[in-house]
Amino acid sequence: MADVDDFDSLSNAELRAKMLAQGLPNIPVTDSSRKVLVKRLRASIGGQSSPAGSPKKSSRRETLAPVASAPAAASTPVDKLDGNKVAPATKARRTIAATEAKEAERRRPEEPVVADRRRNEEPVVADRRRNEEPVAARKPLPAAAPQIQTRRASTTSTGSQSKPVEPVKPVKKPQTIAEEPAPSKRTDREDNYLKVNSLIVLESDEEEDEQLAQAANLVEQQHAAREKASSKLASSGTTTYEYKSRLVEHPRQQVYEASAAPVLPPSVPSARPLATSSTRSYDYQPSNPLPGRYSSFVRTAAQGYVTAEAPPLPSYSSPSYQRTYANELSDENEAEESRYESTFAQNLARLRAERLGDRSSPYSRRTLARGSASSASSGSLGYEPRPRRSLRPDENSVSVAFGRWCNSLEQKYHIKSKLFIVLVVVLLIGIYSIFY
Amino acid sequence: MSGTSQKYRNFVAEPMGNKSVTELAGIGETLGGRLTEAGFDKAYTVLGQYLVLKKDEELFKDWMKEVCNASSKQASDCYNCLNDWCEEFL
Repeated sequence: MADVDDFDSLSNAELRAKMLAQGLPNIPVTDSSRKVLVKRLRASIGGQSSPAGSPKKSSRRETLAPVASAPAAASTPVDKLDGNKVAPATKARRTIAATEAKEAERRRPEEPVVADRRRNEEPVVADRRRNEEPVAARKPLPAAAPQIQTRRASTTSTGSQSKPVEPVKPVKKPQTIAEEPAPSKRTDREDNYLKVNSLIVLESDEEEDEQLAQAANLVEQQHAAREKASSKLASSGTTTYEYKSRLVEHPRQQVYEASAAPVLPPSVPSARPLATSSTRSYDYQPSNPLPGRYSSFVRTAAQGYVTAEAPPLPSYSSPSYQRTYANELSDENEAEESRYESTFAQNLARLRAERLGDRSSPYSRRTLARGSASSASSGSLGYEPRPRRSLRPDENSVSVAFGRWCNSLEQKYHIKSKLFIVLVVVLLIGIYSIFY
Repeated sequence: MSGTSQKYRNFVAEPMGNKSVTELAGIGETLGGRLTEAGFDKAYTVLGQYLVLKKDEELFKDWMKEVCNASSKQASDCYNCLNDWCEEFL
């Protein structure tokens, strides 16, 4: 009862702090709600004190009582315990009758266990059950069911606080504890769920990250090798030939790609959905001519590596500049959104990107030419400049789409032959007009 | 659970506005008088208390019993009334 006095003298803020410390829900303590909250706090801290001192708990018994015969004085604490437990656990509306039915269902299977426990703790209740009719027997059971729940929780949380204060009433203590386990379980589930999701995300990034790390290492190695004028550069030349030639063909993108390469890791996961088995085959050739924001993502470590190889370039070749440039180009949000876009929307975005890239094409061509020439002269390291799978689809954008479109037209209308004829006719007309 | 009372249906059917506390299901003249003495003269004041207690059924019923000596059934009726009203209009 000393605890009760303390609570009455506490301020609202202190009471709320105590409730939080006790694991009770964070409910604002006001003058109007203070009494109710103090009762609940007492019930949670010492299971014994709350049932005996609080009139409310007796009223809860009353609610149960109409269904079955009136319980004895000893049974009252059990009912209180039930009420406390049930309230936090289920917030769904219940009428009194409904709650009793639910409790009865729960209790029946658990009756034997509960009965054994109670017999030790509360012989009065046990005797009552045996003597009374089946209806009466149900009443004590509901009280027992909540106890079982509380006992699980009680071992962990309440044992420390309640036991030293009042060791005499073991049954009540576990009940008060029961409230705490429910919220903790929820949080645990959520945490686990989050952990699982986070793990999945991490796993998805691993491959690409590894590739990026590889590419970055290669670039760094190459850069160091050049500076030192080591012999390593000469050895790796053969593997990269094809790639370099492509670069020469489509010099525009190189600038973007090279710059984007170091930044790629964050954007990689988002770009994945775009990559499909069909697109991969096309990726390398068509992707190069396509500039634009998507294309900037497309070129992964490989291209970045190539540009990095070119030491002669004054400002652009430095790795730091490239990274910053790539950062500016990278737009993770758009890449993520692209997952959910339809193929049509994706193609549209590519086309737009192409146009933008074409405008800046002259500038990019110069840089590409330098990069390719430098890379060819210096020779490439063993690393093959392949873009990530996820990034590849972006590369396809303009040139690939255009090629497909031409192929489809060719198949349908045999345009090439007709175009050839038209060209010849136009030439003839032109020649005719020139001479006459 | 028996069917809902007419008082309950009337209250849940529309926004409470400035309805008196006695319009709440489970609260008659007697309980209404006690609530009014305690400062809860309007239904929305009781709703406010219900919300302050974070819609906790057990706490609200205990509060009802504490403030106006409501029976378990009266407290339960009032709780159901407010809870359903909140689901409808809050």
